[in-house]
Amino acid sequence: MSESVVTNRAGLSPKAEQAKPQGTFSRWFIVSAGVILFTTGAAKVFSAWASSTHLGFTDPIIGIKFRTLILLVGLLEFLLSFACFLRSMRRFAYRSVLSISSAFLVYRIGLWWIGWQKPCACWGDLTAALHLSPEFSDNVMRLVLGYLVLGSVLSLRILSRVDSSSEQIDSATHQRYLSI
Amino acid sequence: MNLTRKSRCLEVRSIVCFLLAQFWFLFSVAAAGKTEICVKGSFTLSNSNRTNTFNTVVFLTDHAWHIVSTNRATGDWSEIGFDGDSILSLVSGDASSSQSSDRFGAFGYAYSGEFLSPHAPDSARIFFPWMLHCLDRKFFLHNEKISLALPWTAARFSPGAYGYRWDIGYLDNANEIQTIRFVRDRGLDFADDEAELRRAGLDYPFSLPVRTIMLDALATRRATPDGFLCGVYEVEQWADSPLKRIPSKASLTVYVPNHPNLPTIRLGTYEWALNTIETNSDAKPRVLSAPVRTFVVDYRFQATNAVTKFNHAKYVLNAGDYFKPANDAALLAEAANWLENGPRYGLGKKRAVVVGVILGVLLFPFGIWLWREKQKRKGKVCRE
Repeated sequence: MSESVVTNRAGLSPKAEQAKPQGTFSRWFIVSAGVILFTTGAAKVFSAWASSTHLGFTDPIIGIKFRTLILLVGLLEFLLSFACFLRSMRRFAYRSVLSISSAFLVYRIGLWWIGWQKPCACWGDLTAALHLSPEFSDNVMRLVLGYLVLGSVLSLRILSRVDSSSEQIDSATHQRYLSI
Repeated sequence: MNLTRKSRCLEVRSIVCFLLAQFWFLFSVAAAGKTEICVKGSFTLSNSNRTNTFNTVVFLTDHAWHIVSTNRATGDWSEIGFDGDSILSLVSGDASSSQSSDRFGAFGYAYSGEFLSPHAPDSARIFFPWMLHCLDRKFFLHNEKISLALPWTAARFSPGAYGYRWDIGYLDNANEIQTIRFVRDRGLDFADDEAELRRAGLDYPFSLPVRTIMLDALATRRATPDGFLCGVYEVEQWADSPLKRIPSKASLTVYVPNHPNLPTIRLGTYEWALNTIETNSDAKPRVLSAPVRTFVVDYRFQATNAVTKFNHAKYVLNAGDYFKPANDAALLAEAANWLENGPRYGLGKKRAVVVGVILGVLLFPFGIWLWREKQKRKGKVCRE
């Protein structure tokens, strides 16, 4: 008799059963990440057209003008937010959110390392339009960044567990097919 | 015989008397001090929004000068003096933007030589009376090939202060300067940004944020068209004094370039009016001392070698203290230690590390994904 994995009626292993509510978290996370990226991306793209003087300065890390950088990053976030909403691109979206949020995290650590004390212009000029102080919006963005990094890591972990469970199911079905 | 002896005696007596008189004259001159003129006047700074007035007192001798300027609106003051070797300057605490702190009532600056290249612009605008009374032909005879900094800028931090040609017109071929036109001259630029940052007159930026700001200022200057007129200085009337001719009516208009295809912006116009000239034949040397606790930036200790630069020394003076001498052993040792162990020119490393890590984290999840997909495919092939 061949070795087989214990499965229920739906063909899911207990591991995969456990992963089901966590998969719901992943779905909610990616939708919320999409909303966040859409908002910040749109704010950046609109801010890039503003006439603020600080946008004419050079970014100390990337070495290009803030205006260009904000526009490029805004467009990237904007495109990525659509990937988050499309079911067919979910896997790509999880990885992209992890990539981009980690890059933002490294960028912020880099700014601190080189001694740049100014608040990050992640929201562009939206903070001024909403009458929020740059420090407040900077702190909000730190929390959002933490949520994106931790959420994407957690989601990818859950996904990999679901993947491994379905792989086990695949191999069990394969074994069963061979034994018939 | 007697007559000859008498006449010889008289001759010796007269020579002794003459020598004694000469000695007395020289002694009395030395004891009385130098002839000094005191110039009092005021100047205004006007732009499209408002007009500020500044009171000025200038003391001039043949080899030294001392200027005090006060902003009438704010009460901010600035004092500057040249002792024959270096310029010493004091600025009231509120006026210093770069190091404003409640702990210091004033800021002091010391510069080698007689040319004023300020660390920070002061709100008493002392550069203007300096231009009026202390600039003359000698700077330009010796500094023809050097790109001099625009004195109304924070010349130690702004590459935008350089790259301008001073077109000078002298008064009747004398020492006094009648007109100066500050004209953008790209021929005075260095091709390399790093070479620009290493200009002797600039503080080399060892921190990346300062470097970024300085490179932005440099980019703005490089974009300024050749021949752009950024300042016009003109003396309209002169007054005579025992030492030299003094400007009695003069002006300086400063411009900045605007966006392409738009007119130039007039930043402001300085207008000088002379009130009185007084002569003092018994002047004593003036020595600047700190009126309150003062933070000093001393450029006399600037030192450089092939790999690094000691921009300036910093120290604190208590009320009543004098500036440290230019041969202060502790500060010279500090400069020497910096040249040996201080940070090196260039800041590319930190930036390269951060950019590398950013690229790494951007690509890492996709790399892992591709690798896992490959492994999966391999596994499938094996199973089949």
